[in-house]
Amino acid sequence: MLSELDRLWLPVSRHWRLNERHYGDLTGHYKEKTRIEVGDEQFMAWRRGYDTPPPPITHNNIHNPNHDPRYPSPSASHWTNQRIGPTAFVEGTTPRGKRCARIRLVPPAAIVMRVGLDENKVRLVADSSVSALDALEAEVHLVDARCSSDYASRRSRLRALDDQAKLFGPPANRLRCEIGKRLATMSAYVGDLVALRDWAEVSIAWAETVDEWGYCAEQYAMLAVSPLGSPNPGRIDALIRAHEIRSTKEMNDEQGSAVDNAIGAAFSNLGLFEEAQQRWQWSLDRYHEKPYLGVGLCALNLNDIRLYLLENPHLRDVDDVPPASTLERIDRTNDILRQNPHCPSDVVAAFRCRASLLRGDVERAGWALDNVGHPLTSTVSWVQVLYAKSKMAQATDDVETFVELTELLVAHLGEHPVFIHLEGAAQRLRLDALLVSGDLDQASALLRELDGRESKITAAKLATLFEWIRVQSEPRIPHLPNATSRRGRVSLWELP
Amino acid sequence: MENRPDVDVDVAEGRVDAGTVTERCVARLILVRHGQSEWNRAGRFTGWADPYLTATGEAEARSAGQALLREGICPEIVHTSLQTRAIRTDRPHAERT
Repeated sequence: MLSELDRLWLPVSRHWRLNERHYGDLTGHYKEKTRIEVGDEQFMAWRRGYDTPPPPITHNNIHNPNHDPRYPSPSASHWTNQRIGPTAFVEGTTPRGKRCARIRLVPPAAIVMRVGLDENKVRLVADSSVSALDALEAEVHLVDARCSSDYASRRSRLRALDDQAKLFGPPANRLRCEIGKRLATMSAYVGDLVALRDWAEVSIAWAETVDEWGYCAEQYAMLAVSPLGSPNPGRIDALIRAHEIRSTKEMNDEQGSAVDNAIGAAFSNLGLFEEAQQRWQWSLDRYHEKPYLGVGLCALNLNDIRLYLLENPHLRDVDDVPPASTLERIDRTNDILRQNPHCPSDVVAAFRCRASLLRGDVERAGWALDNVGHPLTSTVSWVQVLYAKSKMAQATDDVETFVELTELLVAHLGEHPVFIHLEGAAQRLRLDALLVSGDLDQASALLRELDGRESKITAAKLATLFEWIRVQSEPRIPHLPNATSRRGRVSLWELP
Repeated sequence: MENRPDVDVDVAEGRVDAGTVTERCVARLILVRHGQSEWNRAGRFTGWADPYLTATGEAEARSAGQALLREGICPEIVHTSLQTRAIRTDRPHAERT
C-alpha cells in the first residue's frame, strides 16, 4: 500500500492492541464446521457478540500467544478473549471518535462507517446501504481529507455539495449548517471577510433551525473576531450574541470548548487581553480532562497572549504580571502541549523559542527552532515560526536575515488574518528591521500605514459590552467534570 | 520532531478562525483492512494466529494504495497490529528491502 503512495518512509507504529480480537480455543477451527457443530445462534454470538467470549485458549494450544515472542506475558489468560479495551490508544482517539465520525472507505464503494464509542467498547457498524444524505455528508467530510491546500477548489466543491444538500429539504439543514461553517472557515483562511460574514450568517440560520447552538455561538464568535483594519460595526453585537447563546443554551462539552476559544479570540482581538485570558483559562480549567481540540487551542492562545504581553511590557502593569512566574507557566503549558497530538508542534516550538529569548537564552531558543518539523501544518504555523525566527535573527544581530524574514512575515500576514496582536507585533518587528537596516524611507511609510489603522471601536460600544458582561452570569455548563474521576489521574491537560 | 503519543492516521489540516491563530487539526482516520490471508481463503477462525497473505491479498493491498493515491489521500503515520497480514498490507515487499 505504501509503495503505491511512494511513502515507504512513513513512520509506522505497531501495537498488539490493534490486533484482531483473540479467538481463544476457536483459533484455527474451520468456520463452517463449527457452525454445524454449535448451531447458528452460538456461532453468531461468538463472531459478532460484544459480550460472548469464545472458549479460553488452553495452555498447550499451539496458537497460545505465550508461545509467541511477540507477546511476552506471564499468563495465557491475560490475552485470551481481550476485546479492544479502554487502552491508551483508544483513549487517545476518543475525543474525535465520540462525535460519531463518518468515514468513507475507499474502495470498494461509498461505504460510510459510523464509528461510535460507548464507554469501554468500540463499536464499528459497517452500513453498506447508507442513505444518499449520509453519503453526501461523507463527501463533505472528505473535502477536507484531500492533501491539497487549494482553498478555491475546496470552496467550489463545498458550494456544489450545498446545492445537492438543498434538494433534501429540511433533513439536510444540519449538514448545510456544517457546510456553511466550513465555508466560513475557508473564507477566513484566505482573508475574505465578506464571505466569512456571509457564510457564518448562513450557518447560523441553519443552526437555529436544528437547535445546534454550539455551531451557532461559534459562528457568532467568529463574526466578532475581525482583524485590524477591517472594522466590522457588528462585531461587538455578534460577541454579545455568542456570549448569550453560550450562557443560555445546551451544548456539548466539545462545542462548549470550541465556543469558549472563539469568544476568547474575539475578546483578544478587541484588545481585551485580560478578558480573553480569563475565558481561555476558564475553558482549560473546565475541560482539561477531556482533550477536546478547543481546549488545546485555548492553551495555545493563552501562551501566545502571555508571550505577547511579556514582549510588550508597555501593554501591562509590570507589577501585575511577574515575568518570571509567567515564563514558568508558559514553559509548563508548552511541555503539556508538546505531548498532545492535537497541538501543532511547530507552533509550540516557536513559543519555546520566544520564551527562551525573553530569558536571554539565545542558545536554547535556537534548539527550540531546531525542533520545527516539516512540513508545517498550516499557514498559521508558518506565521508563528517566521515570527519566532525573526525574533531570533533580531536577538543574534543578523540584520540581513532579520530584514528578509520580517518581509516574508508581513507578506504572509497579508494572505490571511491572524490575531490582531500578532499582526501588530509583526508590523512592529518589520519596523525594527527596517530601522536597523537603515531603510528609513520604507520605515516611515510603514509607520504612516500603521497610524492609519487605529481601532474603530467606540468608547460607547465598549461600555455597552462591559455592562453586558457584568450582568451576565457565568455560562451554563451542561456536564461538570466528575470530582471523583479527577482524583488519582494524571491528565495531559493538567495545565498551569 | 516532538514526541507525540500514538494517534490514528493523522492528516493534520489547519483551520483558522478569522483573526485568530487557532488551528483545528482535524485528523482523518483511514481504515484499511488487510488483504486476503491464507486462512480467510480457507474459512478458518484466525484471531491472533498469523497466516500470510495470499497472492490475491497482496494484489488487494496494492490496489488499496492505488485507491488512496487516486483520492489524493496522503497518510502521515500508519498504525497496524503485530500481525503479518496487516504488516504485509502496508508494505507487501518489506522482505525485499
